[in-house]
Amino acid sequence: MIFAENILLCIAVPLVISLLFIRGEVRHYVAAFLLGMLVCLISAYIGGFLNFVTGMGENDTSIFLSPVVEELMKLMPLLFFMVLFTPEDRTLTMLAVAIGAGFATFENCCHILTSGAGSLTYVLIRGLAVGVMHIVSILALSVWFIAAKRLKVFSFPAVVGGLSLAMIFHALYNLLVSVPGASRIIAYMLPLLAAAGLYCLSRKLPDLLE
Amino acid sequence: MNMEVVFNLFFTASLFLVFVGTLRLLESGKREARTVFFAFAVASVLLSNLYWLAYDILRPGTRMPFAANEIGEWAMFLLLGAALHPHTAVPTAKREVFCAALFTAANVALWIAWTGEWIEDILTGAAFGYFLCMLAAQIKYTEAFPAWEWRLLGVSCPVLIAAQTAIFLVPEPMKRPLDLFCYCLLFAVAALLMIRAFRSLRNGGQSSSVVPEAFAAYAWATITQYMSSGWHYITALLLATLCFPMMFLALRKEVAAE
Repeated sequence: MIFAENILLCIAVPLVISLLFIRGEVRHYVAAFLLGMLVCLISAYIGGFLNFVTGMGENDTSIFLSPVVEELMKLMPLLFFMVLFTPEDRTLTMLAVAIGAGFATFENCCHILTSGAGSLTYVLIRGLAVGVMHIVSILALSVWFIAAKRLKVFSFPAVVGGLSLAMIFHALYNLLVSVPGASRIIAYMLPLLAAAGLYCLSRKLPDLLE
Repeated sequence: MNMEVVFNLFFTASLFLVFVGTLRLLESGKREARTVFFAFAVASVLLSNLYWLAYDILRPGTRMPFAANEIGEWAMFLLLGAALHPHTAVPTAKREVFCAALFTAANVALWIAWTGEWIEDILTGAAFGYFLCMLAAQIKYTEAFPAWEWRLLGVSCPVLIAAQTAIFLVPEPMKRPLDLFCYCLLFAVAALLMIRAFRSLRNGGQSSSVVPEAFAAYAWATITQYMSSGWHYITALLLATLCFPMMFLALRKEVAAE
């Protein structure tokens, strides 16, 4: 048992204080990073509640329900910011990355405190897999929003469709990682491949995604 | 490895090719909103299919506690519906949209009766219903279907729903012939729509109507898939697999014409 709220406070306080001394895009990034960590904590609460209500068990909840909850929670601040402040495309991408990075960082912190950080290989794999996965899924979502906005088709089905795409990507990762062996190795490679794919896409279609 | 897995592998491979083709279409500089939506829809169904395959291989014989792959299908229906973006067309096709919504509601009731999964079936129905309504509006707007085809659909859909409902009510000896009748109707309409879309693609039909025709063939193949089991399901899956390249070619044709 870990006290996730205490961990969040411990990590967040220096970052909150740093907000007083920084300006511009860096300030936005740090604020979104903090928001990502907070969103992670709320997602954990909701996941725990769903586990209790459905009686699916911790493992099945994390495989089947967590992707839905986590992606939905990550979407909220992004959508809120997008609809209310209509930011520039570059700012939106930066915020999406920060939310994803904050989420992944806090999740990794809690995971390492629970399971230990003795193996450097495992810690590196965890960082490269889960860390990249949370960033890639929300980054892809932000890219989708930017494309939809540019093509003037930003609508409810577009938002829900994009969100569902992020959810199924996350769900596939969670399913593959749940079984040891070849499937876990594929799961670890999946976020990196998706990141490479997104990078290639941004190179090939710069005017659509820049 | 069972046949369903083999066919799903085939489906996944063909979806991958369609996805690559759509990306190349985007790369060529023709950035129609419809093509972007289609690319994301194909990506959704591709991931959904991969999820299903992974689940079947990693946890064979166990039922999903929550069918996460269906999220990918909801995404696909919403994105395909949005790809048609006929919001300007909806006011001109109120009757058709209403009939499509009614048909979807009847389908959802049947799915619930078969599976008992209320929430998933209602959510799938909402996404599928949106796609069907947008499709009906687009078909009407582009005048892709002549009057006789509308009449054929107008008769087939209620007859199909009535026959499927009757299967629950009739005595046991009557179930089999009714079931057979439903399959005949489903596959006959699916074949008709697919042949029509294929001929339009080949014979250089109007570029505006080729897309709704191909999408209609896919919609019916999906309805057939959801109403089938066993070998019939696999055949319907094969039809749906063939529809994706057809939708892609229709989009390419439309983009080229514009």
